[in-house]
Amino acid sequence: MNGYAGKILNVDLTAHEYSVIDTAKYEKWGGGHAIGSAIFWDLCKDKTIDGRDPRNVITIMTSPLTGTLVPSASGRVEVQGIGLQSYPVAWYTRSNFGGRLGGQLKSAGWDGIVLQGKSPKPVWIDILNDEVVFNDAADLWGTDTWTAQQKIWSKLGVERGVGDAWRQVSTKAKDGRTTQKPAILAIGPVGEAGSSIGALIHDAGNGGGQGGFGGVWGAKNLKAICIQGTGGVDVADPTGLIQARITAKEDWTANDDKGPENFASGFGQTVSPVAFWPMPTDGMRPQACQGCINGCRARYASGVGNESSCLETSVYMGYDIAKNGKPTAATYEGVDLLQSYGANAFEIKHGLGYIRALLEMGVLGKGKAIDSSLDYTQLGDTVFMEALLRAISDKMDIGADLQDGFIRAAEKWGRLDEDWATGALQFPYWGLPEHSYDSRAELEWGYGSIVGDRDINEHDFNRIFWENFLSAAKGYKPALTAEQYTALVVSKMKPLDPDPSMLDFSTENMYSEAIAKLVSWQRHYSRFWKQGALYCDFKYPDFENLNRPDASGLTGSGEPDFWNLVTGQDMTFEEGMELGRKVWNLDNAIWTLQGRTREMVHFAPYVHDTPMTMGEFGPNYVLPAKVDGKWEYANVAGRKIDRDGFEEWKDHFYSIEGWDKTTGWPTRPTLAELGLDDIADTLESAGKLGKEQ
Amino acid sequence: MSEQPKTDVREDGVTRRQFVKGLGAVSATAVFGGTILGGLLFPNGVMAIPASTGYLLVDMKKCQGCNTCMMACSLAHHGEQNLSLSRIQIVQDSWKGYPDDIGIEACRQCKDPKCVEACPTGAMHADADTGEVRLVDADKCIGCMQCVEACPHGSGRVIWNHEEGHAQKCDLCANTPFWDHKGGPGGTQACISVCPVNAIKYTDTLPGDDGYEVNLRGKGWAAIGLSTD
Amino acid sequence: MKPLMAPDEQLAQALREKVPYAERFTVYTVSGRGGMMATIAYSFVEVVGLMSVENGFLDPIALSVWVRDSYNDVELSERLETGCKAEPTLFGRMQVVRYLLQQRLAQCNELAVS
Repeated sequence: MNGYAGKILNVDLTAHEYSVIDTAKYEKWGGGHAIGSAIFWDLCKDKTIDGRDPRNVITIMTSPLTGTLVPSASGRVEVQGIGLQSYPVAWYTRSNFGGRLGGQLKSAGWDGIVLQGKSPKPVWIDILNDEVVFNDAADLWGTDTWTAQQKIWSKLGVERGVGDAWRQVSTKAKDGRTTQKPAILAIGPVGEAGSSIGALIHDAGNGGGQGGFGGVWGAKNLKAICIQGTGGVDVADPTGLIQARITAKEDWTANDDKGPENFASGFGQTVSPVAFWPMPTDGMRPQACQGCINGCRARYASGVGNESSCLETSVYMGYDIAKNGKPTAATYEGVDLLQSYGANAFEIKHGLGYIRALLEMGVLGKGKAIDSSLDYTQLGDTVFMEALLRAISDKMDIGADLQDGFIRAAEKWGRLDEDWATGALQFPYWGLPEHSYDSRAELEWGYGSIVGDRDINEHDFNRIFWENFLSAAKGYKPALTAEQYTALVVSKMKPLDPDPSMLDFSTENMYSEAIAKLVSWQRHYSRFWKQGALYCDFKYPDFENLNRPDASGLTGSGEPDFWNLVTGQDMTFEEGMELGRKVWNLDNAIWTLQGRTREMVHFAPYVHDTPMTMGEFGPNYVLPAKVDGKWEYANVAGRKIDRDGFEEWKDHFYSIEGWDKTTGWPTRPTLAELGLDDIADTLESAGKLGKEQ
Repeated sequence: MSEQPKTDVREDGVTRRQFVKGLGAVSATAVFGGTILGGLLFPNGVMAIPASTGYLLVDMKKCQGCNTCMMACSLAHHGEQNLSLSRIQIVQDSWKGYPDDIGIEACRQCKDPKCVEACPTGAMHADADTGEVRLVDADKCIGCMQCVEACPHGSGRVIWNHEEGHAQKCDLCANTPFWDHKGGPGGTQACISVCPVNAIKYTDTLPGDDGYEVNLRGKGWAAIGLSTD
Repeated sequence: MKPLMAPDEQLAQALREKVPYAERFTVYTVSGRGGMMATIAYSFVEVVGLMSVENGFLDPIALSVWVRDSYNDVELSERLETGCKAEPTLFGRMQVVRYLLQQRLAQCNELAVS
C-alpha cells in the first residue's frame, strides 16, 4: 500500500488496550477526514451523545501523503469527533494541526489513531513503532502542554537541544535510531478541566484549537500521546515524486532568490512567517511543518512566540495596546500562555473582546451583575492572560461560567440575545468566533460555515481579498483584472461548468444559485483534497500563481498528480471532488442524526440585522463583483445578510446538494448515487431521511 | 607528511599541488584484510587519503526545519521516506531560541576521515570512481559500527541503517537507485535540489574547519524581512 | 504637514478619557493572510495605540465624526477629513491619520506633564 502504513491504532482508553484496524478496510475513502468520518460512522453508535461522553469516538488521521515529499501535504493531521464548542448543538466537527507528528505516526507504522472510552485515571500513551504502552500521567496532570512534552522527553531519555542527537529508540536493535525528538500531542490545564476552550498542542505552537477537542481529551483523562517512528513511507514512483518536488520548487514557487511574495498565490508564495505582531529584530528564522514548500511560522532569538503564527499572534496584541499604548512583551507572552495552557486562540481573542465590552457596559466586575474578582485593570498585561486561563482551568470565578465557551456563558448570564444582536459578541455562526472574514462581505466564508459544523478556516477564495486590499491601499493594480481572475479560477472549479458568476460577490448576486455552487464546490474540494488528502490550506488550492507565464496555478492537475505519484493510483481531480461530495454527505448525515434542521441554519442576529459599514475612504472589503454589468474589484462592505434572501439561498444550496429543502437532510437518491445506501437506511430508521425532491 | 611524491603529476592525473593540498591521512595500522582505494602508503606507515572533490555547506540560520532534505535523501537512496535513513539530519528543539533551535548535521567529507580510519574491512573508503567521496561499500560492511562511533562531529554523520544492518553515509548522491539523476561531485544532490529555502550549497573546494557553515542569506532574504547576519 | 494647534487643558483632559460604551470606535488590523480583524477601542488613546502598528486601518471620515462628536475636537476632525480626502490611497490616508493622532496625543501628554 504505497503511501499508507496499513494499520490504524484503535485505542480503548477504558481498558488501556488497543487493537488494529486494517487501513485497507477504509482505503476507498482516501485519507484524513474522509477515513475519519467513515470510522466515526461505524464506531460511534449513538451520534446524539455529548462530546464528553466516553462513547465519543475521536479520530486522528493522516493521509497517504503524510510523511512524503509532496509539497505542503506532508505535515497536517486531521482530528474529528463530537465537539464541545458549537451552539446550540455541539456538532460532530473537525480540527487540524501541523508540525511533524503526522510524519512520526506514519514512520511508526500507523495511518491514524482512534480513541474510544475513558481512562479510569490520567494516562499518556507511548507509541514507539508498533509498541503501544499506557502510562500513568499522575505526574503530568496539571502541567502545561510544554512542560508535559518536555517531561515526557526526559522520561524517554531524550535530551533537550540540538547537540549529539542520535539515540537508539529502544533496547531492540530492530527499532533503530533517530535524531528526531518524540512528537507529542498534549492538552494543558484548560483541556484537563474538560473545557470547550481546550485545545490540542504539539511542540510549541502547532494547535488543533477548534471544536474543543482539548476538553474532550480531558474528559477522557488523556493527557498526551507520544509518537516515535523509525520506519519509512513507501511511494509508488520515487523518481517521479522527487522530480515533481524539484519542479514544484523551481517552476511554481517564489523563493528568496526570486523575489517578493504575491498574496493572491497560494502555492506560489515565498517563505514568509505569518505573524501580525511586530517582528522581533534580534534574529529569527522561518519554520515549517514537515515537507512544506514554504513555511509560515517562525522561531525567534528569545524563544518567546516560537511557532505561533497567523491569528494566534494577534490574540493579545489589541488588548496590550489598549492598556499600554503599544505592543509590549505581553503581546508575545500572552500567546505563549495560550499555547502552554492549551486554549483555543479564536475563542480567547474574541472572548476577551466580549469581556472588555461587558466591562465598559458596567456589568462585569466585583459586585456587579456578573460578579468576578479578577483584576480587570490588568487586562492587556501578561498576568491577566494567565489569571484568566488559570480561572478557566480551575473552574473558578468567571472561569466556571466560561467552561463551555463565551456564548454559553452569555446565555447563563441572561445576555445572549442582547449581546448577539448588538454584535458585542462577535460570534457569527454556530456560536463560534469571528475569523476576520465578515460573513456579510465574504459570502462563501459565512455560508460555508453555517451549512457545515464550524468556521471553515479555508482561504481558497479570499487570497484575492488580501491582494486587492494591499494593492488598493498602496496604489498599485493587482496582477489580474477581476475579469481575468474570475475566468481563471472558475476554469479550475471542475467538475462545474466555468461560470464566472460563481465569483460575483455583488449584493445583487449574493443569494443566487451561482454563489450556492461556489459554496458547494468549496465544501467538496475541502472535504477531500484539503481535509482528506491533507493538502495544506495555506498553499492549496493554487488558482492564481504569478510564477507561471500564464498565471495559472497548479490546482486541477497538481493535487491528483502528487496523489498518484505516491499511491500508484489513477485518481482524477474530479474523482477526488466526488469523494469530497461523498464525505460531505456522510458528515451531513451525522449532523442530521445529531438533530440538525433547516430552521437552525441561520447566522447570529447581528449578521442578519446590521450592515457591516465601511466608508468610501476607509479599508474596503474588495472582492470580484459585477457592477453595472462590468467586472471589477468592488467594495462589498456595507450590507447585511437579509433573512429572506438567505432562505432563498438555502433553497439553491440544498437543491444543488440533493438534500431535502424542507429539512436540509440528505435524501436516498443522493446517498444511493454516492454508494451510501446503508446511511440512507440508518437515517430512515431514525425518521430523518430527507424526502426526495 | 614526511615525504612528497617525486613527480608533479600522479598517475591518476592529480597534480602535485592538488595532491599535497588535499591529502588526508589515516594510520595504515587501522587497515587489515582489505585495501583502501585511492590511498598512498608512505614509508612511515601513514596512509594518505585523497581529499573529496565535493562538499556540502549549510546555513543553519536559514533552515526552516521542514525535513524535506531528509525525506529526499532517504527516498533517493532507499525508495522510502525515512528520517532514520537520511544521511543528512536536521535536529530541532521547538523551545530553544534561534539559532540554537536547529542543527544541520551533514557529512563533511573530512580531509582526515576518522570513519575510514576506523573501518576494519575497508568498506568505508574514499571512492576514486566517484571523486574520492567517502562511501560505504555495504557488501563489505560487517556491521561493527566503528565508523558510526568514530565520527567526531555532533550527531555523527555516519548513519546506521537498521533495516539492512550496515553503515551508510552521505555520498553526495553518487549512488541513488531511486532517483534517475546524475549525482556525486559534478552532479546534483537531492537535498540541495529540494531545499525550499536553499540552505544547502555544494562546493568542490575543501572548506577549512570553520568553513562548512556559511551564510546563504542574501538580498532576497532581507527583502522578506529576515535576518541576514 | 501643518501642525495642529495646541489644545486647551479641557480638551487635553477630555481626550485622555474613555467614551461611553455606545460611542466605541472600531479599528481594523488588515494584513496579507490576516483578513480584516476588528478591535473595539473605547478611548482616543486606544485608537492612537491601535493605529501605531503598521497594519492598523480605520475609516478616517468616521474617525473625523467621532473625535468631533465624542470629544468636541473640531480642529482635529476637520484636519482628518480634509487631509484624508486629499490622499489618493488608503495607505496615504492612514499616514495622515497616524501623524495627526500621534501629534494630538503628544500635545495632550505634554499638557498633562506641565
